[in-house]
Order: sequence, then structure tokens, then C-alpha cells
Amino acid sequence: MKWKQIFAEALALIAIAGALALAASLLQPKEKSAGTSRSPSLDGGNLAQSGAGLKDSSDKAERRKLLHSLAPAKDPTLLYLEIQGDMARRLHDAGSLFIDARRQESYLESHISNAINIPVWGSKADEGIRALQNEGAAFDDVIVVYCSGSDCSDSLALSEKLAMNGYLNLYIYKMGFPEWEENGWPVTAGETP
Amino acid sequence: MASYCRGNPVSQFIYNRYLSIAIRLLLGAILLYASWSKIFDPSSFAQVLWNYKLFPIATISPLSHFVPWLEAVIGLALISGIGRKGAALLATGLLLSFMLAISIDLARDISISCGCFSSAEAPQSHEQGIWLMKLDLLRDLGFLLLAAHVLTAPITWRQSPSSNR
Repeated sequence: MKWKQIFAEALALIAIAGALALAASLLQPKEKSAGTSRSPSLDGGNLAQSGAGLKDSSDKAERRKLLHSLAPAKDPTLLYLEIQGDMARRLHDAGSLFIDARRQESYLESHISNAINIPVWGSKADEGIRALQNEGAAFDDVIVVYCSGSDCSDSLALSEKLAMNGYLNLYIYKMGFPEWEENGWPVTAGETP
Repeated sequence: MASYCRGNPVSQFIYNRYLSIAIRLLLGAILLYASWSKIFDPSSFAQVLWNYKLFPIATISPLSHFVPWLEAVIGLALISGIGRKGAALLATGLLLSFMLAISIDLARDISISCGCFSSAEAPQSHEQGIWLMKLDLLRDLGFLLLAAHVLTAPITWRQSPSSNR
């Protein structure tokens, strides 16, 4: 058998795999969402309940000013800045928007109170980010993203996505949920942010 | 390629018809099995790919959908025998890519779960992770030899070696 024929076979198999992958991707059932993956996003209610109070709080501008003064200065050329637990707690208390980048199951089990869930690898990650914009999250809002601690890179991946969508003030709580929980800081289980 | 079967008894053994069929079926089954869980959970596989810290984020989602299906198609081609040479060539390329990715992360001392057969492997310590990555490399090397065998085995076998002369 000639190499030309072998390469032709290989190309045909690649084309078949590509077509199947595309079809499967289009037919993939959307994740049944909970917490915010559903709706940090879609119904807006979670965001309104969250510390950020993006929709209906009358002191939104004041809060934003407070958050900007609290958050560490970030070089505008950086996509995000890593922060430690104390700073994360301060921003949380001041009402910053927290986004949990972990999988939905982990979020439902327990998460930082008022955090919304956008699982970065879920099929609705982009939809969640779009919904965030629709719900009124401004591009210069202070946003804290976290996942499962220092070995976890989901918060980095989600921050990159958020940055690509125009968000400027992204902070990664590097030690993430394990440290927060260990410190006995406020957590919530289930779908409620 | 049929020339491998001529003369040399070692070649005659290695490229024995039944052994060749068994190797092809085994490699096909392995690839099909490896693709299974990833096809049904591309999100977890995307996370595995991201953990390699090798791919730009824009490529993660397409790769997480494409690679499992490519494994499945190669596996089916090897099992059915349709386009098996092309499938063996792709399997060789795929395995070399996996081995390269694992080697790069080993060199950077980044501990990852390879996601070879499942995307939901248990978390492990750094040392355990590095040790398992070395085992993954050895395993992939074994699979690579199988793929190379299928690629170089003759398409058809003669009734008797003597008939070659």
C-alpha cells in the first residue's frame, strides 16, 4: 500500500471524526443549571440577591466607589490580579461580585455566600458571561473569581474568558474555597447564591 | 510491506497473520474504550486539557470535542479493518502527541492527570502525579509499538512463506 493512500485514509478518518464531533457538539444537551449557572445568568434573581446587587440597589454607585477604593490597584495591562484571603473577605463584605468557577456539583455542595456559579468548562460558560452583562455587570465592576485552591486553574481560565469579554477589574482569590471554608467565613449550600 | 514476511523467521513471527489481527483489534478496543467517557463528558476533558497548560484557551473547547471522536473513529476503523492503515497512522500521531504533551509537563514539573481513559481521575499529590505521568509515558510507548505494528504489517498474507520465492 502506498503512503499516498494511507494519508488519504487518515484524512478521511479526520473528516469523519470532525463531522461527528461537530454534530455531537450541536446536539449536546444543555446542562441542567442550578445556582447561577442557571442564572447568575438567566433569571437575574441571583445576581440581584448577590452582594453585588447589580440590578436594583440604589447605592450601586456608592458601593462601586467603595469597592474600587478597597481593591488593590491593578496594572491595566494585566488581565487579573491574585489576592489573598483577607482581601477577598474585605471585598466580599463590601459587596463585590464573587464568581465560583468550579463545577456545578461542587457549587451546590457549598460555596462562598452570595457567589454565583459559572462553571468554566460547562456548556453554558459563555451564556453565563453574556447573562452577566445583560444583568448589568459593568465592565469596570470589581469581580472576584475563585475555585478549589492553589492547584486549581479554573479561576484563571474563567478570568481569561471574562477578560476577553471586556471585564477589567478581575481578582483571583487564589487559595479559593478550601481556605475560605477553613477560616469559617460565610458559606451557603444549594442553589441560593 | 509484504517483504517483512519473507525469509527472516523473526519477522515471520512478528507479522504472523493472527498476531497482527489480535494487535489491531486490541489497539482498536483500547482507543474506543479511551474515547468513551470523554465523548459523554467533554467539559471534564476540557478541564484536563486546560490543566496541561499547553493550549490557548480558544482551542480547548474544540479539542475537547474533536479528540475523543477521533479516538473513537480510529478505534472503529482498526476493529473493522476499514482504512486500518490510515487509522494506524493517526493512532501513531495521536500517541506521539500525548507523549510529547506529558513529557513537556514532566520537564516543567507540572503534575497533571493525563485524562487518557477518564477525565474524572481522583486528585493526587504532586509526587504521585509525577510518578503516574511517567507510567503513562511507558504505557503510551507500549501502545505506540502496537500502532507501529499495525502500520507496518502486510495488508494480505500469503498462504505459505515458501510461495514467496
